[in-house]
Amino acid sequence: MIKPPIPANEDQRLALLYELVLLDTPPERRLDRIVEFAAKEFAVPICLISLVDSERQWFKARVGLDVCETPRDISFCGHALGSSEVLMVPDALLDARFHDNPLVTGPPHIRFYAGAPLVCRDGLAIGTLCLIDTAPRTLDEVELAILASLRELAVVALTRTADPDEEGEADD
Amino acid sequence: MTSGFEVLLVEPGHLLRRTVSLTLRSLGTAGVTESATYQTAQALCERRAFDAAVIAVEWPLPADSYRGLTLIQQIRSGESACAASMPVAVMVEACTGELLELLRACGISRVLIKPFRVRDVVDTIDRMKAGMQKLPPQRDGSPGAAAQR
Repeated sequence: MIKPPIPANEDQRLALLYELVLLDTPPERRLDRIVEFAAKEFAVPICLISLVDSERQWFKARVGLDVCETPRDISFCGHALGSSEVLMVPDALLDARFHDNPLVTGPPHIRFYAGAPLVCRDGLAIGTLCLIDTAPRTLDEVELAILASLRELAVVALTRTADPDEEGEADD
Repeated sequence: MTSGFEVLLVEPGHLLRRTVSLTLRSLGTAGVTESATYQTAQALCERRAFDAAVIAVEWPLPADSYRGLTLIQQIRSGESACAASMPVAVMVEACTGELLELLRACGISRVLIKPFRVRDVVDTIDRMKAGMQKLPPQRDGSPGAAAQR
């Protein structure tokens, strides 16, 4: 297993994360809707909005996972912070970074991972919107674009107050 | 950067509407004008033309006068700036035989029944665009009629 690298802008990234006052806050329906929507769209058992703190990743919204945080050292999402592009791992067992990761060898037995970095102002990524499956798979160009769109909506929902259009809508 | 193919998307659900719209724009498949309500969509159609439309249809018909079906019927009867023959796809919660007959009578290109995916809507618009490109070119050579109106 390879531990996730610490991004060069880690101090600013964490400062922004703390400024947004998201960590350890109650669930929010508009964010829960995004992970529920994404899980259905991609037919994955697990979908998360994961915020990467200094020593842990904490899940602001989650589908299919009982725990609310895991150590950063073993996080997949930590590996996605270095770029604005989606990090896709088609089969974790075939990837040197993850093949012996406890999240792969034990519950939730991750095989497929796709994490879209939640890039906020100044290019700072505070976490990811990620899809997880227990079987290998991949995403094509259209699916990657859909994930990137949902990431955009997640960033907007995380960084500003609720829009009446979102709050008032029927569930999608 | 889009290809000049302009689509009207009428869908009250914020998440579905925004995701479809952002995805089509990022893929460069189409320019999308979004409307969360039929009233707004109707006003848009009176003002400008589109190459295609994807419209949520409520069924059974709601009590108010603004409905997806009303909007489609207005387009088909030429009561808008859009071509009466513009390809239209609909999104519905469920589809009964009665609704299907109504939609067929309106010349609907595709019926998307929930639960469908964003991918299905994107593919539908892709097919509408491909169908439009097979038509004889417009006077300005563009694939879409909306571009020249």
